Amino acid sequence: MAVIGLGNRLLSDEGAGAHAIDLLRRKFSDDGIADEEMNVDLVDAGTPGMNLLHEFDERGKIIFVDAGNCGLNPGEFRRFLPGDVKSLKKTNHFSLHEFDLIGFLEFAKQMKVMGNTEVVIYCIQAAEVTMSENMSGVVREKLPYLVEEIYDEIRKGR
Amino acid sequence: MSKNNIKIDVEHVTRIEGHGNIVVDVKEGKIEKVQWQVPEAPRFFEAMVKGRYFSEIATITSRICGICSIGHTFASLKATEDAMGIKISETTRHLRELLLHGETFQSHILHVCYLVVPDLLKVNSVLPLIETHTDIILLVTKLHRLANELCDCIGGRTTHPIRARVGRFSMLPNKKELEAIKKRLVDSVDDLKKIAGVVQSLAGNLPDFKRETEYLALSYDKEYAFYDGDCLTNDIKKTIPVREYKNVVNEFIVPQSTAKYGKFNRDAFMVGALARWNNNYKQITPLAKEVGKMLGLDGVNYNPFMNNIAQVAETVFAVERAIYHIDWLLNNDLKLEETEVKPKAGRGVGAVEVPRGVLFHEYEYDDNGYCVKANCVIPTNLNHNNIQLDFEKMVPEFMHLGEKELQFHLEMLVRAYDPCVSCSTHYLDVEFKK
Repeated sequence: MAVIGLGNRLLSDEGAGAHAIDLLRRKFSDDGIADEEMNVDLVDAGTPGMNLLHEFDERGKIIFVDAGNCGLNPGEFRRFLPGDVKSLKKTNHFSLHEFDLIGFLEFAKQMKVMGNTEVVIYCIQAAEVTMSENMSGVVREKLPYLVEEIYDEIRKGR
Repeated sequence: MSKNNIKIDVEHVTRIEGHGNIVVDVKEGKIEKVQWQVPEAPRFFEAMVKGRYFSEIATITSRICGICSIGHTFASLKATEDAMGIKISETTRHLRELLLHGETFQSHILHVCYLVVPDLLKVNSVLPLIETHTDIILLVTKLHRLANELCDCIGGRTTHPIRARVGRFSMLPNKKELEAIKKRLVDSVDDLKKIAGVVQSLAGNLPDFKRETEYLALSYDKEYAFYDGDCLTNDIKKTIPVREYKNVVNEFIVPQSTAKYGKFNRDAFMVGALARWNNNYKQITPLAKEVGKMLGLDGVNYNPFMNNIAQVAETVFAVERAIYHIDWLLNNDLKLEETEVKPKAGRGVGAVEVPRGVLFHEYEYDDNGYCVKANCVIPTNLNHNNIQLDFEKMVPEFMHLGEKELQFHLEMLVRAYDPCVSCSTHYLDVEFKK
């Protein structure tokens, strides 16, 4: 199992997924759970693009954490499955730098690299995406609650 | 619509995912407007590293871009080392070059096969190819995995490397890991030849278009330059030291874009694989040269679409050089280095070739090793003006094909440059079905 945080840490709330991994790691550490006992890989993937294609191997479940526009109030978050949403993101296919997680998961499915891996996504509604290493106040305040839910999901084997 | 009227307006979609707009307006056969616009928000990475300690800078700048994170790391480390007079060991140099070749391998193989090959087959994305060209897509995935694992083995991550530090590596690969990667790289050469064969079968679909321009790339007397070298173009006879890069890139702004453009001896220059090839092809490895020739790249070439063919040749080069560096590492006793860095004031410039062209970082540090000034010049920005001039020549030459085909060719040209305009956002944009 893996939790993969996505996002650019230099673009404020866009980096929430990466920051969530820091918080999760700290949470495990605070609870006295050593890395080898966690039974989950915590991956700050940053902005890996298609490199994610090779993350599915022999993993029963992957939880992606990302910021975005998911129709909620800033700082609110939601857990969903890829099939629950329709991506509104349009890309010009100009470059490998364009990335749409939902489109990527469809690609991975068609490529048959996902196997039986269960995929869950947590999306936190961003308040701002601007040049900063700091998230907005509201996302910084709410992100620990998202992390708490993921932590429970991991611990309960949900 | 009359054949004499063309209106193309390929707009970027969101403020954070802006990859440039294509605007063409032709009225009654008269071209009124042809523009490549880059409307992304200005990026202030330079401001972000000001006040930061020298040892943190490369970690921060590697996050600028998910595709070129290794290149950003090395341009950054080289600039810091230049500013502080730090020399690196042979081992560190070999490890860095190996990692840089891993990134080139990663990026080129995906760009050519996922973005360019669909163009050559006239399908709108790689998705339909999963059904029609399954073996090739699986082969590309296998090669991409190998490139990723090479980067992970040396840099500690597939992107945003963590082991490359100022003056050293913080952790070294062991012999077993290197031998395993080497074996797979050697085996991959046959796979790369197969990919080259596929591209060869489609290369006839590349648009017949030529526009000579100035080609800017690093040049190094010992090898086809990627890690080391100074600035060279086809318009000058002697290289210009990277420390004087500002005299070469001459950044300027234009009304239609927020990104800075560059030019030197002509109205524009090109950077990237074709620029490297045109300036340095005599130094590329024999097999890479052979692959380039097989795909129609024999000596200097003025067709910007051939940038993608140069990328195929460079992929072979990257693998050949990676094997060379692994051999060196296997034949030498690797020891973790404890380089003690005493910070000091100074200015430094670092340059490396990344998949999209030459990348410059420049920093100034105070006496205590804190950054007081920074400048990053990214290759995609250096190409914008060249794309604009290509557009201006292409539109009158291709407008007889009609609006749809013209738009396709202009989009294909942009992809040929493999731009990184608004890099590194992975932001979701979704609506719930219920």
